[in-house]
Amino acid sequence: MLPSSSLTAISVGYFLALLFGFISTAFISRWMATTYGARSSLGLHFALITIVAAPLCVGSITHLFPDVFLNVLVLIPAMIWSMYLLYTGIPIALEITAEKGMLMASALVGWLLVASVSLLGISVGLWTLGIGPFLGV
Amino acid sequence: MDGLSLHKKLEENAGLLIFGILFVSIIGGLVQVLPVLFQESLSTATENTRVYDAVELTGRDIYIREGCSVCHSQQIRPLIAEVMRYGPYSRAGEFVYDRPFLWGSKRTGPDLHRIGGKYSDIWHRVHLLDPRSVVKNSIMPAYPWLANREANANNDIQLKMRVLQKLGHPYTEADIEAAPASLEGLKEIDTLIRYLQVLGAGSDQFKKPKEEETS
Amino acid sequence: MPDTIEQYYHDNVVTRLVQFSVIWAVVAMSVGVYLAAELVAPTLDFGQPWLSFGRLRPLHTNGIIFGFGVSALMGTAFYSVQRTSHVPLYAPKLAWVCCYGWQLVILLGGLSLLAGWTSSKEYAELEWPFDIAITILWVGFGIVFFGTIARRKIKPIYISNWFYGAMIIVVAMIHIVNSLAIPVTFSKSYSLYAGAQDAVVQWWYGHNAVGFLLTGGFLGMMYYFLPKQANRPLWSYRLSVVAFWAFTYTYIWAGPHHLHYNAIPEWVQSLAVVMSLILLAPSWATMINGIMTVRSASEKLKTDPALKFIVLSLAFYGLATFEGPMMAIRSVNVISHFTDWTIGHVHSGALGWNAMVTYGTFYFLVPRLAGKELYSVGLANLHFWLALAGTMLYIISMWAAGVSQGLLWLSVDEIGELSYGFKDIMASMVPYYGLRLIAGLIFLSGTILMAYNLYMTMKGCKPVLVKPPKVDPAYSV
Repeated sequence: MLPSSSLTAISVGYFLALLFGFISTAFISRWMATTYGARSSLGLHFALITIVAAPLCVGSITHLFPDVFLNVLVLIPAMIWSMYLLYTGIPIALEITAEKGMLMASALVGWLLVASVSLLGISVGLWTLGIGPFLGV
Repeated sequence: MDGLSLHKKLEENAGLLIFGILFVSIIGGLVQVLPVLFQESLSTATENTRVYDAVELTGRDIYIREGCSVCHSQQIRPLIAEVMRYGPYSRAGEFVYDRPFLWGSKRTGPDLHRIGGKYSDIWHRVHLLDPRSVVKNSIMPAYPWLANREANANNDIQLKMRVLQKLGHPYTEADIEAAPASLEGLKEIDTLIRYLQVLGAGSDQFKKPKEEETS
Repeated sequence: MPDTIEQYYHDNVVTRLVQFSVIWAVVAMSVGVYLAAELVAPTLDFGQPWLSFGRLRPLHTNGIIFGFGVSALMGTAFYSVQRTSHVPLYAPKLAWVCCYGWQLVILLGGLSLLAGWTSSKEYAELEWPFDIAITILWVGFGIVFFGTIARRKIKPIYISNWFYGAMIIVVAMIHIVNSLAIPVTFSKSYSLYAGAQDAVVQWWYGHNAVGFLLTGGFLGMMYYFLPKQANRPLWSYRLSVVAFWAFTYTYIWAGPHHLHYNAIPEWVQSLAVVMSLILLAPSWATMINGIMTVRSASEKLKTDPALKFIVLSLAFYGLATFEGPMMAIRSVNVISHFTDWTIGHVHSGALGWNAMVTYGTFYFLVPRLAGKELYSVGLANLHFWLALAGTMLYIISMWAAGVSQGLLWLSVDEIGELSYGFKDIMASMVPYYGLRLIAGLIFLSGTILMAYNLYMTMKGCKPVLVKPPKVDPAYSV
């Protein structure tokens, strides 16, 4: 069992990362809207991102059971569902054709991948600098 | 735009374009790689590093042949946890006789740079022939054929040593003469174990055994 | 009386190279899947040396890079250089020699790897006889390519040719320098370089093989086929000029980021960090150029699965060229070096960028070479989703494995002792290796669907004869 200070730090950090992720993705999505001729209301984009991420958020209840296999079993289908919602939801919510939606969704996937790897890199960089678990570096 | 009209010349002349590419791409190598190739300290052996003898050389070439460096590194980084786990960090002067270098780029298995002397010959033998018999959850493949093949089956040990001698390895004529005899009766697995057992002996943090104690 | 063959583009050699590329994709990816399986079930080598992980791995990497990759690059280079020069291939017989010669060399080379003939230097494992054969064939490739450009009827050389050309020139340079060795026997040589010096040369080679073959060459492919598929002009010519030269200059320096905290001079490592970060700019500039070119072409997506692949490949190109510089930073590299994160990074580029841009190009190119519609658009669409799913699962499983490894290897407890044993850490990786195996199977199944689709498209078709069109006098030589 981790010490409670560590648990608090991880939980708060995770929550802040999620907040940042949702808000920044909504902004990026709205920024892309002009290129693809989509509706550009920030609230609409935020709502869309929330719906797209919903399967992952609800599915992450499996984190309560720290077993890799269980988490994978639940979260992989959840992610597939989220991707499906992204590709089908963009044309519907942002009122563009399916084809333009496909292009915009792919661009957003690009952003999400870059954001994920940045999160990975920033976390790792912080750990190495001493913020986080105790490492012999 | 001046830059763009200059570039037009490059775009309309294949020779200029080729030259331009060559010129631009060679700079990095000249600045970064060339000085390294002439840096004395990178090709000067540490006090305890010696050239591989015939048996160890044969073992090393088997290590290369079987792709051991695909899963095992030989490079201990100057990080506290790494030094605690594997031993003193690796210095350039320990690798001057390594052709090619075997630092590896992946650790599916542990780093081996200072594996020498940590396990007995018997342990290595059993482990190479069936890893799971000594390490329960190991995913290392087994190498049963090493126990069946003669060490000097290709009879090329003298040729190898002569080539390395040309490249600057300090082998004497006596070493080369005696080489096939030293491999007599050995199987490939014996030579590989001998190689593994000298890995890491070159660290200048190890004290050299007194001459009188070795016979 | 038909016109002489000299008046038509030489596309038969292109078709053959595309076919070989697809075959290599299926073969080398199957080897990859087998390797993934061996990491979960290590007795899958059945005690046979030629099935052993250490010998199979270079077969996979060389089969992908030199079999799948170079065949695709050679074929698409021959296709696009003719059309951007408005002139048939220079020395078409030599092109055929390169085509079949290359296949023979890589096939025999692959078999030699199974026999244990290896230098162990990554992506340069083939021993000296093959190194020499490769050099000769590569020079032949250069002669055909640059010869065609020299004979061109259009004055300006289109940008895709700069990238293919840079690939040919730089790969020749790094291959020759890194392969220098003294032969002992036909199957064995000793490297001219030793130890730390060998390490620096090897990664100058290794990184630039990735940079100029897997990145530069495929950018050449993208720069020709993307505007063609989207039926749009390139978004910014100016950007492409700046990006090309910045790319060619900067990439060369990034090699030593494979050697952080290793026994090489500190200044070499630091230089590599800086240049790797700078490299982000030209890479993303190129990606943006591609995306902006295609953004208005969405109506084609309904009927054209090829465009889907190319668009997504640009997203993964962006990821890979962002992740690379990030992993080149020392404090990130401390965790990532030697772990599966590196493998994940490689495959986000190889599957997400290289494979997908090639697949998109083939779905566009093969119907044109065959003079027929693609056999099944539905299958191609299914392939798209399989490729995306496989790539994502691969990346995510390897991120999880890699970061775990890196963290756990370095973890020290409150009293200053190592927290975990190496054996235990690696035993906990098996679920991730299992996921990666599934990812590989998914990606491979998509590739097999494509092979079938393209085969059915090409079956029974006659070669299409295409004449170079008339050149606008304003651009005429």
